[in-house]
Amino acid sequence: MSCYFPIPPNFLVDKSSNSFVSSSITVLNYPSNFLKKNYGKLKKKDLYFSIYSINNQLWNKVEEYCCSFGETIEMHRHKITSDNECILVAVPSINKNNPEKSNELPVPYSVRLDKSLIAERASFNFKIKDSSTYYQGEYPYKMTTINKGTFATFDSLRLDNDEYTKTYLLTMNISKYSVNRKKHLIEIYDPYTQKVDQEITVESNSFKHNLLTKKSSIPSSFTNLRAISCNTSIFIPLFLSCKIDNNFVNLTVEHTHPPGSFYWGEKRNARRLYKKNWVRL
Amino acid sequence: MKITKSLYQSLSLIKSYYKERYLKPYALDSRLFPNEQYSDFFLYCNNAFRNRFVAENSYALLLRKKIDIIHRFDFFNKYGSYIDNYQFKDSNFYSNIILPKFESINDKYLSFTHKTILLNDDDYYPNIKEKISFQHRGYSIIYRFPNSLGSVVHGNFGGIDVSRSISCKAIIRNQKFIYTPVYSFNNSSKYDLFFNNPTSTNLSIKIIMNSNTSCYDNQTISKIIPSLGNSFLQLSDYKGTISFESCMPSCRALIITDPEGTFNNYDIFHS
Repeated sequence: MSCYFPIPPNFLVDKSSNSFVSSSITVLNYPSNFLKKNYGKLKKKDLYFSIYSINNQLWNKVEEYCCSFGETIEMHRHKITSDNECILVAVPSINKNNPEKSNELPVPYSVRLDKSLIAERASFNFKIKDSSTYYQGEYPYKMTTINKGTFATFDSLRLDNDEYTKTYLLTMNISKYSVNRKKHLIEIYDPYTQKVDQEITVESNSFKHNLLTKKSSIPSSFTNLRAISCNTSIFIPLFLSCKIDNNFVNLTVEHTHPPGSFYWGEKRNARRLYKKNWVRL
Repeated sequence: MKITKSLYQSLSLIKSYYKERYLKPYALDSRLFPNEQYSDFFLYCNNAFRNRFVAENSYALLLRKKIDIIHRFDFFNKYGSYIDNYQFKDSNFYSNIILPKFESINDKYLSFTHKTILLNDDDYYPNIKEKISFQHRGYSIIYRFPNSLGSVVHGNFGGIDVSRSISCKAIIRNQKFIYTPVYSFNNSSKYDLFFNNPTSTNLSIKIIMNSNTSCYDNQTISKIIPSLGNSFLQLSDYKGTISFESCMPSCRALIITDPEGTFNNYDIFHS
């Protein structure tokens, strides 16, 4: 299965210290995992990464990178655009022939050699000053062809239990169709009382940072747990926390598991039950 | 009719398993006759100020109501020897649990499994018609120092059957795999590369430095990790990518940046 690699947004986290999260992705021109016996099948060719953004309802190629065989390259968001809101998607390609404008994202090229486990990945890099955190991920091509879907998770990774720390929910969604800019409501609610205490509106084809509002000043405990739900779209959620206390800066990022990964073997029934419980209709 | 359907599903599963069995990470029996619970093999940092664990209450999440359970953690040292267990009672959907300290143990890193024990079977089983097997995939939060933010890393791989006694279902195959993380190591930073072995046999890993360097002889380092044990490689003055060669279909290190916390840049992530 081939994959796209969206480039996360840059965003301001602390006005008083002018602290920005500066984002980039690192990609590699080498299969992530393969059988050693297939080593001889490696194609030692350059790999291109076309960067697409949406403008006037079309995917526009805004940059192109070449990555030599066996090498990594890092693509910094600020070097591609100063617009921190627009979506940027890196599309791996075998040549430079991707269209300049298109209403569909080109199908990503895969450097896989065989069916070994583990998808092709990029490193999503987040930095504030000298502090950095990393997440290895991807956006599967198959997911970009899904028009409908639902999303449910919990804010169990938030760490904003003191005045110096903030937690952001980063929502990733890519549709291969550029006209797909539907708005979706994400509701954050108390799983015990069902009371909604934060609403976020997110578009299709976006990689948005959403500051999670603090429910109370009580240090983190799971009486403060909140469920997060959207009944119109799928997302890949990342939780990024940052602590800024004078010169001390610390960052951490991780995604929450999709519901299916909590079950072993046959997952369909469990996933259906889970979604029925936690997606607000 | 039901028996025919079940038999057909089992035969399909066996057929697809054997078609590409050398790529399958888990034993066939765990897929054909799944037990109640499987766990990832999680990291515990013994030199950290605090280790927390975000544990899901799978029963409560499926029934959308509080259910009393015990979260049980079983800890193993670097040799794969059992150390101790820790239990925490709760009924919430998720629990954020401070794990115990192991000050008498000198290992820098330990591994552990997670399981949940129902306090009253009647809270769950009469309400669920299908057989559902759980996979515990929680999140470790490592606080290197008292004022640290905490570094979050999710469970990644394990397949350890924790339903009754500990039983490994991840498999070492007779084919070698080469895994290369998309990460470019920086020669001004220090790293620990942490591996643990969730299989029932010794795991042999060759760590391959893909860049020419004078720092490491022969460009490769070999590690043999006993069943349920762990090992790590201290890395510094190295720039470039690294590959891991092993017979485990999914052999990925956890990367710990600035492991001593000297440069205020402590982070843990899956490679």
